[in-house]
Amino acid sequence: MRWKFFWYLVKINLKITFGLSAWIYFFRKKDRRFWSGLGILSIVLISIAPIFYLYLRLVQETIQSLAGTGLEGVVITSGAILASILVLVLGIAYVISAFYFANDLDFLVTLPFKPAEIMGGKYVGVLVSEYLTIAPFFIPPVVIYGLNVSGGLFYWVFSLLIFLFLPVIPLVFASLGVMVLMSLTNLGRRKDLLRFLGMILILVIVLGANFYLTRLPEGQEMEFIMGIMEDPDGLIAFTGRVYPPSIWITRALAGQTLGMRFVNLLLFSGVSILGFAVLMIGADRLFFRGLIGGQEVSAGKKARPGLLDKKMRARHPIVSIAIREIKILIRVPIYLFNSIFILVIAPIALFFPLLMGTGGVNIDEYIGLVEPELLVLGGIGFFGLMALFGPALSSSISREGKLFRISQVIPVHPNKQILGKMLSGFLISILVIPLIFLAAILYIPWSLGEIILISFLGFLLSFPLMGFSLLVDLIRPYFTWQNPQQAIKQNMNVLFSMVGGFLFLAALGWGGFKMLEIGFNPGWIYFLLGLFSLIIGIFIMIVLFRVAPDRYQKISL
Amino acid sequence: MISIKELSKSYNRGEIKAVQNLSIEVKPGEIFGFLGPNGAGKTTTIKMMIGLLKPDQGSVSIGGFDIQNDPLEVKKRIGFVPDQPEVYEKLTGLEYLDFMADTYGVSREKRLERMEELLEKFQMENAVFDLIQSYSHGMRQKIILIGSLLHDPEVIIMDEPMTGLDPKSSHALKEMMKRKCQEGKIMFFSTHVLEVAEKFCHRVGIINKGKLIALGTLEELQNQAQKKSSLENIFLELTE
Repeated sequence: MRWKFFWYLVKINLKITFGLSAWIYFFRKKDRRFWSGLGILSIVLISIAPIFYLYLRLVQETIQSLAGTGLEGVVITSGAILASILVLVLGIAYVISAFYFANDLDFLVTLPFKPAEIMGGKYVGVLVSEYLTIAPFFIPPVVIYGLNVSGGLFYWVFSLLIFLFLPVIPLVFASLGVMVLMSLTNLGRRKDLLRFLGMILILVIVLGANFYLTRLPEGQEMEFIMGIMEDPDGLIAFTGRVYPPSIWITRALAGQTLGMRFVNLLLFSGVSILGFAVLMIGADRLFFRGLIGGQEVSAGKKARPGLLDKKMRARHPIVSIAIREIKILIRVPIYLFNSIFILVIAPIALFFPLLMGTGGVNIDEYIGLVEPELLVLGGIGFFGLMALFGPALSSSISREGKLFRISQVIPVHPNKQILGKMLSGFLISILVIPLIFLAAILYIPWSLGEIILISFLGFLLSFPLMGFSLLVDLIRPYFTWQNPQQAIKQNMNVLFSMVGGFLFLAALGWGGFKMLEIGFNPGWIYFLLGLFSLIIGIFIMIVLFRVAPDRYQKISL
Repeated sequence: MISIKELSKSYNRGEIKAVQNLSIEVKPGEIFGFLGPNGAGKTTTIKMMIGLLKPDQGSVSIGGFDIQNDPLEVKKRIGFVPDQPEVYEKLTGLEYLDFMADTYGVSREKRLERMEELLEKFQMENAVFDLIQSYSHGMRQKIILIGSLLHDPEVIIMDEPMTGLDPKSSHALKEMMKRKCQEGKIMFFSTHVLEVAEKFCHRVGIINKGKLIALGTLEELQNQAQKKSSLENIFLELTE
C-alpha cells in the first residue's frame, strides 16, 4: 500500500461521494442550487427532530432509572450495538455498490493503482457516510451519560476517538463478506441473481445471530434476568454478546478506573486498525477478482427461426412502462435489495421465533389480548408500511439517471408515464399479500375474509403513500448519482417520502384506534379508512398530473 | 419539414451563448449534415429540436407542429439517435425494442416486419435476445438506431451516428439513409466525419461558437470559400 496514492484516492472519493466540488462551485457562482441544497438539509433535520427528541428522552430516562445501580453504562453498550449493526446491515449494500458498481471503476482500474489503494479510497468514502448514519444513534447516549456522570476531559477525548473508530470494524466485516461474495459469484450470466441471494444470506446470518445471542434461556427467564441485574457487569456483558467490541467501548467510557478505560480504548482502536489492515491485505488478493472479468459478453448464438415472433410482446404504453420499471428494479441487485428486501426479510424474521424459541413469551396469549378489529387495522397498517419501506417509487425518477432522456423523448404523455410507474408500485405491493397469509398461518388468527379485507384496504392505503413518494421524487429528482446505491440511499426523496408517509400512517392509525375506543362500528372505520385513502390518493394524483408535464419538459440532464 | 427559426440558448445567465439566432429549414427527401467543431452548439441545437432543452428564444417545428406547443405530435414524427449509446442495460435488446415500439404504438405485425428487416441489416438478429449490458459500444449504437426506426419516422435526427459502428453497419446506415430519403423522409445528422457529409448530404450547415456560419450545398459552400476545395478545407477555413 502506497499511502500517497491512498490519500489521493480518499480525497477524490470524498469529493465525488459528497459532491464537494459541485457545492463549492455552486457557492462561488451564487447558484441557487447551493441554497436549495441547504434548505433541503434543514427540512430533513427538522422532519426527523421529533423522532430524535423521543430517542433522547428514552436515553435520559433509562439513565435516570438506572441511577445508582452501576448499570448506567448499558446505554452506551446499546448505542454502540445499534450503531454497529446499522453500519453492518446498511454497509453491505453500500459497499457492494461503491466497490463494484461505481461509475469510475472502469477508469480507475486502468490507472497504476494497487487494488488495496482503490478499495481503501472507496472504503473511507463509505466510512465517512456511515458517520452520518451512526451519529444520531451513538452521540446522544454518550453525551447524556457524560453529562449525567460529569465525565472529565478523558471521557470526552475517549468518546471522540471511539466515535471515529466505531464504524471501522463492522464495515471491515461487511467489506470482507462482500469481497468474498463478489469474487465467488463473478460467474457471468447468473451473477446478479447470485449476488442478490448472497446479500440476503449475509443479512439472514447477521440477523439470525443477533436474535440467537439475545434470546433468554427457555424456562429460566426470570432467574436469568435476576442474575444479570445483580452483577453490574452482567447486563453489559449480556447486551454486548451481540457485538463484543461494544463491551470494550462501554468499559473505555464507563470503566471503574482510568487504567481500565485506557486499556479498553487501546484494545478497541487496536482491533479496528488490525481489521483495516486485514481488509487491505485481502483487497490486494480478492478485490480485482470480483471486479474484473466475468463480464457477460453477448453470445450472439444463432437464434431459432421464429424466435423473434414468439418472444415479442406488444403492450399498452402504460403497461410497457410498468414492466420496464419492474424488470430494471429486479435485475439490478442493489435496487432489488433496497426495494424488495423488506418483503424478503420480513417472512424470514417471522420464522425466527419459531425456529429459535420465543424466550418464554407466549405469542398466542399476547395476540389473544388484542381486539380482533385492532389486529385487522394493524394488518392494514403493516401493508402500508411495507409499501413505504420498499422505496421503489420514491426513487423511481431518480433511478432513471441519465436515461431519463429516453422518457423525455418517447411520445408518451408524462401523465401516462406516471400511471405506468404507479402501476409498477401496485404490482410490487402484491408481494405483501403472501406475507399477510404467512402471518395469519403463524401467529394471527385472521379469517380469509379478514385477509381479503386487509389486502384490499392495504392497497387503498398504499395508493396515497405511493403517489406521495413519486411526487416527492418528481419534484426534485436526484440524477447525479455515481453508483446505484447512491440513487436510493443518498436520495433525500426516499427519506422525505418515508417520514411523510409514516406521519400519514401514524395519524390514520391513531384515528382508527380512537374511533374503536369510543365504540365506532369497525365496519364504518374500515369504510372511512378506505374512503379517506382513496380521496387523498386521488388528490395526490391530480397534483402529480399537474406537475408531471412541466417537470418532464423542464428537467435538463 | 423541419423549420428552425432564430433559435437561441445561453447558459450561466447569458454568459455562455451556446446557440445564437440559428435558422435552418430542411425539406422532405433531404439529407442534412450539421457540422461544427467540439462545443460549437450542435448537440444543444439537437436537444432543443427534440424537446430535451427549452430554447431561450426562437422556435422549432417539425411536420408543422411546434416542439414547445405540441411536443407529443413532434415526438411521434421523429426518431432520435443520441451521441452516447446509453440505454437500459438490464433489458435485452428485444425488450428494449418492444418497449420503444409500445411507446410509439407500432402494431405487432409492423414491428415484427421492421425488426426482422433492421436486425438483419445491422447484424443484430442473434444478439437481440441478450442483455444489453453484454453489448459492445457499436452494438448498443445499433440497437438504439433500430429502436428509433421501428415507427418509420418522418424525420430522423442523429447525433454522431457513425461513432462506434463497424464498416458494414456504417455502410448499412448510409444505405438506409439514402433509401429513407428516396421515400421522402428527412435525415438530420451531426457528424465529425466530413467525408460522409461530403458524399451523402444534400446540404450542410456549419456551426461555430453557436452561430451558423455556412449553409448550403457543397457547391454553394465552395463558392463561399476563398478557393474551391474539399469540405474539410472549407470547414477548416471557416472555423479557424
